[in-house]
Amino acid sequence: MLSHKGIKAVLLGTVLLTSTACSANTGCDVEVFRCKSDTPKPITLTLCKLNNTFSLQQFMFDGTALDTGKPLTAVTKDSYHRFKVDEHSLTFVHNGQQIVLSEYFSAEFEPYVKTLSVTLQQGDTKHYVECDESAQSQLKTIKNGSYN
Amino acid sequence: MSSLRITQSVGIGGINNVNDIKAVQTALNTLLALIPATQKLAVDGRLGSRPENSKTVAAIQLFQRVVTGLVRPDGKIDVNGRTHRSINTKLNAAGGTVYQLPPVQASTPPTDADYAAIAQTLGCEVAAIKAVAEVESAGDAYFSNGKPKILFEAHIFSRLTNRAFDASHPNISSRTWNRSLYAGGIAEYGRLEEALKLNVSAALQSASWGRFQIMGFNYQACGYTTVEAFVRDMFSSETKQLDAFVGFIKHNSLDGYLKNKDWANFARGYNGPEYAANRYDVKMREAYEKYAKP
Repeated sequence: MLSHKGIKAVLLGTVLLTSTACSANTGCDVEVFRCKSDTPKPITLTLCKLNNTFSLQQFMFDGTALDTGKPLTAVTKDSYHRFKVDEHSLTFVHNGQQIVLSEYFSAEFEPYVKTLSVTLQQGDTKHYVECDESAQSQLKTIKNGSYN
Repeated sequence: MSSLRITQSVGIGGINNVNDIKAVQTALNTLLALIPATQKLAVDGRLGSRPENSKTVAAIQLFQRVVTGLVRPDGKIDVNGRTHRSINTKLNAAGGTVYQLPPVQASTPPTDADYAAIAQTLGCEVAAIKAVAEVESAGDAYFSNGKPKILFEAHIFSRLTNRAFDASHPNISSRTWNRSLYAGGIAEYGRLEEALKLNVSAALQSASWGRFQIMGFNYQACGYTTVEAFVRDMFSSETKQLDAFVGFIKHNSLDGYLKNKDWANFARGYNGPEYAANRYDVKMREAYEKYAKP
């Protein structure tokens, strides 16, 4: 029933990711999403929520450190669900690049699958990264809607 | 070529008349899009001294696996057998009777009378079915163009077509779920249309449909004999979508929980093991209390 596929975290039954409180000096109430992966391109990303705003505490992609710390604007939280499938996603634009953080869970077939991923899109160019097993997400605790 | 006519069997262990083999080679060449990676076959009426090693038999086996759906392709076409009929179905489609999605229809939401009739069928309170319908709904039933809301799942299409199109059509056929493949909203129909050209049944089964986003591959569980009939009802009305949802609930033996307002067990059965983390049971109870108010 439990398996691992690439850089996916695959769940056995109910695994609740516990809320990770950030230290005060990182300016963050809740670590909403953390992703690390070495393939296909290395990424390290940590998204924090402070009050009702989101900010990137860490963001490195393909060897380049990107701006962090500033509150993100035009953040949208959305979710999708059907029989035994849930996906929570958070979308924002960062330096002209649309970024989608996603937490997907499916009990549609066995083994159950949980995938945390980051999609970066600029124009027609898309990069898709599945996070490794150290990844964590609290996206399901964020209410759907727009955040500025 | 609108149909394949053979007088005797072709392939491994077949009679293998020259003209029959030529007819099969011609037919498969017409259907190359359905058996990716297969090169155009020479129409020479020959399978060689060892038919099992011939390109024609390899193409027959791939067609049997990908299109006919045989778990163990035998590489043989019997006259009017399953593979023969399957080839003719596809040739007919290629000849002009291509599957068309149903027309868009004006639809109104289910009425109180519709909910009352469903509640009576299930033996539950109207507030209970309204609560579940609200919480398990994925929002709107239709896009702004009147077509049912869909999401095309590449990992399901890959699964249903035995990975045959993963290499040739990576945007609509993927071994694993991949968030970046979604086009989103109405654009999902473009992905569905692309898949329909490859395998109609698998394409329709690989999308989730309507207000409750029921996957097409659940058509039998919803009470339909074909996925095409299921899709027709998804286009037809939101009430039909609700009927399919209710059929699906009954098929999964969740109606008893609905009757007893056992939200935790209903949510566990419908939403899976993460139901509590997503608070489906709480949402259903709250929705029920809202609808149960006099």
